Amino acid sequence: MSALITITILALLLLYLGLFKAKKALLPVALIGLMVALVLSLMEWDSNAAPIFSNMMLYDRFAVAFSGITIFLTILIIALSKDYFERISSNVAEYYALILFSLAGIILMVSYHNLSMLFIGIEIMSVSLYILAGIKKRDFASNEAALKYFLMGAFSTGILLFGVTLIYGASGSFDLEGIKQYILKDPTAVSPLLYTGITLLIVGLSFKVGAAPFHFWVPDVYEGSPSLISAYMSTVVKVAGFAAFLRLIMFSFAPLQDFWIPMIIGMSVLSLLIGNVTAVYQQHFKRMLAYSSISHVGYMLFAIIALNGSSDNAVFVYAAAYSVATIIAFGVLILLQGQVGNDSFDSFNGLARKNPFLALTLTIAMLSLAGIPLTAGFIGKFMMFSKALSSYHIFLVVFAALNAMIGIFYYFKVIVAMYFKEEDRKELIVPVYFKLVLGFSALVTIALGVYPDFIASLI
Amino acid sequence: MLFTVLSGLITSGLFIPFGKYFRTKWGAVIAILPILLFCYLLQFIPVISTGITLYESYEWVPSLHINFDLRLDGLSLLFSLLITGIGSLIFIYASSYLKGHSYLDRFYGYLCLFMASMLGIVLSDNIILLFVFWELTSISSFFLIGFNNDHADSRKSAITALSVTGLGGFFLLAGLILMGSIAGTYSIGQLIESASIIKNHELYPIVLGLVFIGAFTKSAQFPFHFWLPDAMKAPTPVSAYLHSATMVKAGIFLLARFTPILGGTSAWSYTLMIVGGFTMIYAALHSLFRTDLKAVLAYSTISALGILTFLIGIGTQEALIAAITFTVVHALYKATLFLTTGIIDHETETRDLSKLSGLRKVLFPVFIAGTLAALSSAGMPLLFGFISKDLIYEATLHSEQHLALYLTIAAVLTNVCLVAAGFMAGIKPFLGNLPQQYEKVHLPDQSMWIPPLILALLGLAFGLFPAVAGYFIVSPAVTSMSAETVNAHLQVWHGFNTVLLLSLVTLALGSILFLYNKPDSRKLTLLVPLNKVSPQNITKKLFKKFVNFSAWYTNIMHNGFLRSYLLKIIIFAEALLAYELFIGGSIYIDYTQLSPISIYEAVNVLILIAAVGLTVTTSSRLTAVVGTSAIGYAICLMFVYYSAPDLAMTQFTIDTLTVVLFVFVLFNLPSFINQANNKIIIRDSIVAITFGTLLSIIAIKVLQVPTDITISEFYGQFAYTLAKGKNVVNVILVDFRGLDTMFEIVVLSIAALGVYSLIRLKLKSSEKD
Repeated sequence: MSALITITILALLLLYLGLFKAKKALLPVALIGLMVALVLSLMEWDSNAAPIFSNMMLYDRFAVAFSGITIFLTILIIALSKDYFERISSNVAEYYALILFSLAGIILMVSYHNLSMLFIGIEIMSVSLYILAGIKKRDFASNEAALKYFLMGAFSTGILLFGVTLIYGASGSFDLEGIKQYILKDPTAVSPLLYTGITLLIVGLSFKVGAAPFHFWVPDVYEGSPSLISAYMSTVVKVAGFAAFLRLIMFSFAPLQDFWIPMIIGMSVLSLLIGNVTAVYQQHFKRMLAYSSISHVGYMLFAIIALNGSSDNAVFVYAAAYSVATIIAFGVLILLQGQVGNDSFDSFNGLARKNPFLALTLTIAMLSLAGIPLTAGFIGKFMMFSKALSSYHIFLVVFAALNAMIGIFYYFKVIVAMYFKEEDRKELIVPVYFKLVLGFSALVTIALGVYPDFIASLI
Repeated sequence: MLFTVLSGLITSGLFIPFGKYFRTKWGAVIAILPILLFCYLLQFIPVISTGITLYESYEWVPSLHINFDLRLDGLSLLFSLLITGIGSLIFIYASSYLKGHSYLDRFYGYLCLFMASMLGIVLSDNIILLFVFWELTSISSFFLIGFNNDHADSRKSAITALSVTGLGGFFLLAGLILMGSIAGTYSIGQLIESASIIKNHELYPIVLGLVFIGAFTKSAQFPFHFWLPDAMKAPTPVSAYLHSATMVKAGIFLLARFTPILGGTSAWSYTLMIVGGFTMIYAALHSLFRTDLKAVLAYSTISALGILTFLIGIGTQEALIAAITFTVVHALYKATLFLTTGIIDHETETRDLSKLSGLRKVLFPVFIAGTLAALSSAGMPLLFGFISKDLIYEATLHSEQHLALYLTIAAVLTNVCLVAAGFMAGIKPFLGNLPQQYEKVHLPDQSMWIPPLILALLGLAFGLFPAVAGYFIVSPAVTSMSAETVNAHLQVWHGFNTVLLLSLVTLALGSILFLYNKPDSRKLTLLVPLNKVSPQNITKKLFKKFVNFSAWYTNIMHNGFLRSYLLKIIIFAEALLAYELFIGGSIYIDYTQLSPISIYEAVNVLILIAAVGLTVTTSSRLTAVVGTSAIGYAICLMFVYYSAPDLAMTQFTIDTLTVVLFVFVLFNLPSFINQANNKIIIRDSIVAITFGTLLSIIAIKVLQVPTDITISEFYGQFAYTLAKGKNVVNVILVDFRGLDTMFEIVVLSIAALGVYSLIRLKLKSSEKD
């Protein structure tokens, strides 16, 4: 809980720092504040947590783990923002504050115990992001991304609220425990309203995580937004959306599996297929990352399809692996866009000769995203596959295996360009902050891949 | 054993910081690693040959049941000796072959990684651990194939190889996890114990299929074989090591390892016999048409892998002995042939068989090595190849009665072709007259020609004393594949029998074929018509189709128009809601509970419908805005009729405000162009009407549910008694939830302040954007 308070105060503090023109202090203060928040949140690790604030929130292990990972990822992303916002505008305090406000919303999203808190969390997060997507005011792509994101987001929020209302209508409660008790009373005779409510809620949340067929905004928004914000959206926001999704289903709707499993299977298959089909065709790194992020949602949905006690952990591992690797990819992308001005695959040619360090970290990231052993991505895929197979969803896994192969194809395009294609190019200048973040993320990816034990049974 | 696996991994990791010191001639120093490992493994031979299996276990990821369990039995010892033994020679050979290459350190790094992963595969006692190393071999092979990276071809073949083996890898992973969840363990030892459970499980065929795809892709079995000839773009030492002697045998190793777990059923035997049998004949025939030395070797390697699969499929004890013996024989002679090819390529800069001749005069020791290897491959008596050929024929002859004849014919046919292919690769370049342009060719460094000679002489040594190999290597390996202890008596002389006759016929026919089959690039054109149906071509076409489809799909579905996205999403939402309503049970309307419809309501609804009609048909924006406001006011009236004045007031205010705002921006909008044609209008109206209908049905459903009115009852009951107010809604707002209202007012005031300051804000001209 103290993490939420720390982050909110930190955001306000940054606004004041901006007001008093202490621009140099913004980044260090934000980083230190977030680290404090991270430590505070980890200190609340407690297996017997009880709901707080009139049952509004529950800061259990699930919540601690997911707020921990989202804060951690935000630290990495903010560290990459060194000199990034300054290129857009001279008033940068707002950008930091907005990121932190959205993070506050995210903490709510992963620790809610009441549907109203879920809604508030999603809105706090989304409203900040609508602005962040459009911070490049003179860039048409950024404007378009912000508007699309806003309209689609508003649309999905409407659906979500409709769902919440219907669930309240059926069960008479916004409380996760209350809804669960209502369902458990007689799972076969719940009100038909509840089914409609669950459907709408699932649709609304699928929007937020970008699961097909509610993914249409994803590529356009990720591509149009400033890369740093895209990195934030495709990692922290996605993880949070997924955590909220999982929490809802694990807590309340588990007894009604037969109803929603077909829906989720359909979404998972579509996400895998669409994400890969569209990613193969892309010639630009950023678009490829955007499209392929849809397919990763498909894998993560496996944990919901085979719901049991360890689903949360599987999602946690997968999300952590995916996010850390994605941050590396976006870090390199930011450098490339800033110094080469292009992010086509050809602009990676010969990178290994000039920037061996960048090439190595990016290779590790791509291996992890493709799910190759000894990287964190493999452990994630392994856990997802074994989850799906433990409930004998064999064809789903075979389908996923085919898709993973396609994934190898486009992720390795980058590696081929960096290592096998020679081209005379200038060395990219890598600032210290980038070196730290990229190196650290690559180390984490390898460490989780080589020694995943402590994370594999965390929650 | 842990050290055996990890040393290579650690060494390859150390190349990242310290690689630059090994780019020079010091590179050869690194060969000490495989040599040491080879010597270390040699000392286990006496222990293992008594039938003992050594285990080592370290905790790794206990929560996922993946532990660093290692086992050393006959099978793993045989393979690890091959890996480290041939590896040592390859390391030495490569130091001369790639002398002066600017990335020599990277090459050794990949090679160490590969060797360690390969050792990991054969020593694992945990199938997931095995898989981890399995994938690592694919990755290191990817980097090694792409090592000669200045050609687009070699990049393409690297990624083809990785895609094919990667696909197989993921299928294998699925199969292994499934097998693990059926048996409840990932340990190979325990899996063997629960073999009957797995074999009788209803999912056994699926497990088998998934594991087979993994093994077939790795071991280049038809129809996945096409990546292997492509992979020959790699430097020759790599081809010799990975794509002939070791990595491609990982699939064979997997089949051998799983023989006691999955083997023995008819599904197992027939699939392997058919796939292996077809591959061996298909590839053997293909090898005859090639003129590139490495292509000949590639196809004969595929054929040899087919033979191994085929033998494991037959599955009798004789067949397994033959398979193990042939593995060793093949590794020895094929690596030799690759290395001699490498020398020829290195010195003459061509691998075209129609140009090469007479090289014995300048490369004599290489000629000896090549000839010995070719003869071994042909099954000449007194060489190791002879023994294995005998064993193969024995295995086919003694297989099931009704199959024996066909299997034997297939084996003879394959071997005849392989004899010719072997002669072509090992002897042909050295025969005949030396062309003028090659007269200056000279023998390379010793470190290049000694390794193939050692391998070739080993083939001779084992051929002379086969019993040694039989007792120390083959028997323990076969024992670990079967339930009981096996003693393989390998001997040179079996007496005059059918097998000997077959061997001699094969040798004779093969030699005749060699003499008449002159290398000629025109032969390849004969195969062109067949290319259309070759798996490689089909895969290429499929992939092209897939990319085209992907382009088409992306352009259609992700066209960037928000309206088209919304349309698609609404259609999907409709589908979901329809599904939900469909399984949600029947819908009925209880008319008795509804109040009668008055004339005011009827008129109001008519106005509403008219307004909707106006809004969707008008071509003027202003009219549409007015139309929507009319809809809004009609709904207000509805609220009024059903005595909800507060709601009506709210709706009324909001609607007015919306219209006003709309009129404000109306002037700034671009002029209205109606781009919709009839088709689009019909499509949109269908989608819209369906959505409306579905939501109406949901609304009707809401009516069916008895409402929980405890809360409204509470307020109704206490509004007057506690708060002395007669309007319940007002009491709720200002009394029961007074604090909420207060904060709402605060929020509104802050927003108003913000608006005010924005209006007052005078931007500097520089900031106006």
